[in-house]
Amino acid sequence: MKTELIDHSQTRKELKIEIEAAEVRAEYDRVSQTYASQASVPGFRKGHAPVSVIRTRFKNEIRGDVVQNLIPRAINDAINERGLNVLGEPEIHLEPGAGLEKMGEAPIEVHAHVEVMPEVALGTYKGLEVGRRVRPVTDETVERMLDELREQSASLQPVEDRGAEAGDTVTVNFVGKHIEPPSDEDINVEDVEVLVGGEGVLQDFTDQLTGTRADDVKTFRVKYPEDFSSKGLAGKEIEYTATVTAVRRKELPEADDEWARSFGEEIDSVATLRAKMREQLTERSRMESEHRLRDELMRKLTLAHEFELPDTLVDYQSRQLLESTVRDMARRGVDPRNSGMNWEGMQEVFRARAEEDLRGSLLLERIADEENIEPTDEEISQEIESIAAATRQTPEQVRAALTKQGGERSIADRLRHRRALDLLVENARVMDEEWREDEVAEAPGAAPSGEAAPNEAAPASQGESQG
Amino acid sequence: MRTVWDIIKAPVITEKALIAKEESQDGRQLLTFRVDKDATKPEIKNAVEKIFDVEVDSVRTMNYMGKKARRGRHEGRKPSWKKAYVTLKEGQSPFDYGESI
Repeated sequence: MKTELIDHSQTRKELKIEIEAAEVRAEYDRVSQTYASQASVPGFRKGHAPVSVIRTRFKNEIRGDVVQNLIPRAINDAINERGLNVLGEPEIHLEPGAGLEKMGEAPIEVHAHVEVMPEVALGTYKGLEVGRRVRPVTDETVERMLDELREQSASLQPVEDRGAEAGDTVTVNFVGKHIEPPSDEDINVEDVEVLVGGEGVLQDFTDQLTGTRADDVKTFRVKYPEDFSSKGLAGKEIEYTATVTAVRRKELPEADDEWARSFGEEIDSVATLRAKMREQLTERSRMESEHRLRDELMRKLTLAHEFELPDTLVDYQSRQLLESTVRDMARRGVDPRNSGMNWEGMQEVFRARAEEDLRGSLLLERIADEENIEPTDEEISQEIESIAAATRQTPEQVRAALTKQGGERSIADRLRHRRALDLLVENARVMDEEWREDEVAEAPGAAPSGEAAPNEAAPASQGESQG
Repeated sequence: MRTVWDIIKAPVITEKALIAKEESQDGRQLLTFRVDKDATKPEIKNAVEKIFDVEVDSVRTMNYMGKKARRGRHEGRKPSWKKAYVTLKEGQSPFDYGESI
């Protein structure tokens, strides 16, 4: 067997294989023999027809068998001989000629187009320059969070001494008559809570309901805008008779020690609550900056390393992304088919993202190799436990699910990647920078979420790598 | 017009015929053909010599009655045919029916 390797690009190779005549001959004889011992030909007892008769009678079948036996073996051998790491299935091309027409008299020539993992030449990956920006935690942000907390624990108190004002919640029974276009059907809704002056409340309602008191009855017309969110009402004019049953104002709790104590045992005053929140915010902002730092590093790293990606992998990865998106939609109860998504357009987005992910994970893989990073069993168990904790399962459940998916390996890979990334961070030249808002949209996943599934918890750059 | 191809229809390739060919009598090869029912021995000799470029020693023929065949209620026969054993002269190169038929 003679082989020749032709480089088409970093990831596309062509193997030119010549299978020698003698080899073909041997296989041809073997296959003919098996046919002869089994075939039934008129004029002969079963298995008694001579090989020469069999060869003329079953010419195509024998040729097919010979090719099927020889070619894959030859390609495999050639791949091993060349030490190629082939992805997907090789694309096989048979050269028509004497080798196929007259079996065993001439060599058969095969061309196999294969995709291989690109050789990633590692450039400098230590001492990359990145800026670390930490979102500052100021008194102001702490106060804002405190206010949010107060807002959440607000209660509604009835108002008796004055008319409704902006910010009050008015409970109303509505009877609506269609004026334009006319319709016999009346609208009849009870106990509608309208936040006067609130967002998403039509100005008309706010205007009409301001100053009302409990038990007031008021009649007014509302002209809904054409682009009103509810299709049934858009562009219509309706005369409402509103009966106000209650006017309540929102009462925010005083930010006092008693209120603070409702948040937990260890909080005994507003001061400790404040300190606690500051701590939380600081932690969150630290995490955020850490994520940002890593993203930035990965971006730098991928930019510095130019290499080609095999189509097979990109296809696979983008399909995975697409599938997980569809699954995600289904889980949220959205029918992916009529969600108005532009799937063709998305395909490209997914491809681009898949490419980026792959680039990142290939590079990390390479670095992990370079640095001999290999997670120990102990570390793997630890990781499994932390996943278990995050998904509220027992470690055994996680382990079982993983073995089913053959995931023990993927966990190890993930750990490898993470450690490689840690190494990058350690060796990076981090410069602290002034805080400024990012102009690019923040990557999802930066927000801390406790209930994220294990595969979502990993940063996007640590997509699974298939070898 | 009757050509040599109208006389020789096909070789008879069966175990029996092939064995007869292999175990050729005193160095003479024995070939077997399906021939036209009305062909005569000299005609067959001539045709075989022309087609295969060999020298024929002798020709023996025999008639085969078509087998009875039945399609439901209708009874009939398959066509009758004539078989010819052709003995080649001594010293002929080994014969191969090949794909010339």
